Amino acid sequence: MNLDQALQTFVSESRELLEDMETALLAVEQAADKDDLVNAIFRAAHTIKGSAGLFDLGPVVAFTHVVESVLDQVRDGALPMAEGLVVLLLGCRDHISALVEGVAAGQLEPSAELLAAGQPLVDQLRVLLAAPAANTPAVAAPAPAAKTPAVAAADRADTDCWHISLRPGPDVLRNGMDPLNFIRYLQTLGDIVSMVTVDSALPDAAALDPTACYLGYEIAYRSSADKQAIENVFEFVRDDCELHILPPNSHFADYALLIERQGEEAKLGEMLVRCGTLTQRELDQALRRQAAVPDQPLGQVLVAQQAVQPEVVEAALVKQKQIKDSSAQESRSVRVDADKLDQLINLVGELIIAGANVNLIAGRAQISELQESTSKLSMLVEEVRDSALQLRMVKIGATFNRFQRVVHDVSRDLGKNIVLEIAGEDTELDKTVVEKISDPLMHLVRNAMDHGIESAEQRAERGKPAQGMLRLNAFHDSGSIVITVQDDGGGLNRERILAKAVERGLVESGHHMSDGEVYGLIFEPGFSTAEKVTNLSGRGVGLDVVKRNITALRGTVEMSSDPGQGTTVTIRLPLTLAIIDGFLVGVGKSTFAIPLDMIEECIAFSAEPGHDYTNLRGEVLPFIRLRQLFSVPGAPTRGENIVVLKHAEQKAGLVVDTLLGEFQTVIKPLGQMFSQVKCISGSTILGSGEVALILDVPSLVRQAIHSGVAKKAESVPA
Amino acid sequence: MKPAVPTPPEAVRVEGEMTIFCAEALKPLLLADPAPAALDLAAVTEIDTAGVQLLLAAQRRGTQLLQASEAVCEVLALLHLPLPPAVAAPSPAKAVS
Repeated sequence: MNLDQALQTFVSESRELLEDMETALLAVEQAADKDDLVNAIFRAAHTIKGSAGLFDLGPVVAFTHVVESVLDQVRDGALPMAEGLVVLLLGCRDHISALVEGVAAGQLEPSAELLAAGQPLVDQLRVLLAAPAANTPAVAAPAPAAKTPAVAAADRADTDCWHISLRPGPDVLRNGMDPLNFIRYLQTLGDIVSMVTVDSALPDAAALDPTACYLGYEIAYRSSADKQAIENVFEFVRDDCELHILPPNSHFADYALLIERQGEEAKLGEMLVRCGTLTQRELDQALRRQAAVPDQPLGQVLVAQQAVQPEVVEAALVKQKQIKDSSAQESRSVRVDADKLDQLINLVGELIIAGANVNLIAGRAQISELQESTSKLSMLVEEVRDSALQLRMVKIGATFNRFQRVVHDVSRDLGKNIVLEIAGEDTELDKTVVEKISDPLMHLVRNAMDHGIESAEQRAERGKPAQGMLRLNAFHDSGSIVITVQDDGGGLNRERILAKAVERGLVESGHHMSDGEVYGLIFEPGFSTAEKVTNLSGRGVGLDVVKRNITALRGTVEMSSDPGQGTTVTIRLPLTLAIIDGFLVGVGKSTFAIPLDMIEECIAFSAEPGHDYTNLRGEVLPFIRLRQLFSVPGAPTRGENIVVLKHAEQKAGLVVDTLLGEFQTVIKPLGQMFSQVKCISGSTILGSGEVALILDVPSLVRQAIHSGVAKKAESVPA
Repeated sequence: MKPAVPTPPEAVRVEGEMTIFCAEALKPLLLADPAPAALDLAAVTEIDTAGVQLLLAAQRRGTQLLQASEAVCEVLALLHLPLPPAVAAPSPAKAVS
């Protein structure tokens, strides 16, 4: 058994559960039907406690236990899920998270500070538990003990016996071990007070494999040996069996946990009573702490038909439900190491390049059969590429939802009432992009809340609803993904930005600029118009970092604003960073690739005499001559073409010699040396082995439009 | 070791070991179809988990445990499993046959 690996799984599962818990906590205040959400919160806490127990993570178990108790009260309706409680529980969630991260960092025992940090939370939870004392007999007295996150004595079983639950694996006998020997050996260390042999795993006669081990044992054991010593008895079968050892006077919750863990043996509760570990009364008490019956009618039927104890049914149903939940989840998704995916994408990239080479040779050989097979092959390769890339695609919803918490916390800090609306959470984009976009989004969201949305008084003055609105949206648009951050705040002050820019020497005064360009200035380093510096933003760091991060992803960021109505930040990012559908064009002897999604159409070359623009069905289309731009030697050929590019609602033409057709383009980054080269975003390898440069469409479009404007400006001397 | 002649007409009698080493051979006898009415384990010299499993599986199908040797009784007692009605001494059991 690899404990490290299991621990890793525990950590990553706990993180997911904590995320679910947070989402549910944030939604629960607004929700009309709170029950499902409360159950979800409870389940998250409960599962973390259970798993932590498996790893002997005492502090996690102890803290989560208190949280769980409070949640149990909420579920029973004894405590209302009020705002104060949500904030407290969010705090608890963070503390659990800190504990789990501690475990992830290899600190199985949390530091004293961390424990101390949890204490106020525990105290607050205790106060809540103490208030409706009716159904909690135990925890009324606020326990002073700092170290043992206390659960009072009434919570513990009144027994001086260890409880050993042993489920040998099926191969134990074949491996030459006999559990009987271990049980005999146990007798030498202490007394087996009582024992139940569990035969529920024993199959029907026909299915029984006489050499497999099916029996399990529940043992009440009185001994002065310590846990380690008892565990060592089973040392030789440790890896091959499921072993739980509960010390004398364990918490009821631990017994209940044990009951839950044992799959189909729902009768375990009875067994605990039979083997004397618990009295019936104690069992009832232990089980009462467990989840409410999810399916009341079925439980009742079972009780009526089989005359089983209702509590047993209860535990069994909870167990059943958990199995159902987890197996449904397992069948839906597989955890894969991200590195393996990257490796796959790399290989697919190589495959495409090799495929292009084969195509080229097949074309040259002029064997029609060969060409037919290679074209079929290319089609398959294309599909493989698409599904491989699809593997890396994740929905942006998870990232968006994380901001619910940010908005919740920050709006409290700022004393503003702000609600976050989310749209387009099903929009998918590359995993790397999602990871890297999260920080810039965080800056933008905080900035919008701090500077964008006004205080409640100001909003009232301006006749706006008191509740501010922040909206995150994502959608696909011609080969890019567009993410917008929109607020309904005061909007940007064009004059103030311009004045500041002039003051900082970023622009000359009197220089004419479009609104977009002026708003774009706030992404410049060291630019902030906030009059007071808050602890959130206003220091002028952040927005330039946002721009830099987005540019690094080959994306662009823009701002638009309606004074008094709000601001919208629009981020455009390429869908993927690895492989794209490209379109090849030739100029002289060079070949260039253009992302196919950004091409609107191709037309034969025409131009207004003496100008760098053409008439596209009555519209002015500025264009760039690629030959000029990259100083490609040679004279233009006669049949030139214009490729019409589109980016962010703007169009521009690109004059090229020849159109070479579609090509699957594996993007290879350019070396550090070329990082300053404009209008090129990467390189790719053609079937012939030659290198083609990939054109950076956004910057080309910008340049075409800009040079059009510049030309105009030149002709009218300032 | 070799399974033996039924003791009372419809009972199955096992002699020698009842362990993992002969579990495969014992299964068709103990879990025969239809289930044998009774088991006589008075001549069993050794029993392990595999043997106990077979016994429990047989008992589950309604087969009675008539008598058992000391070795069997010791294990049944250790596992807190029910003992046969007449705790048999090894030798008189043979007399029944």
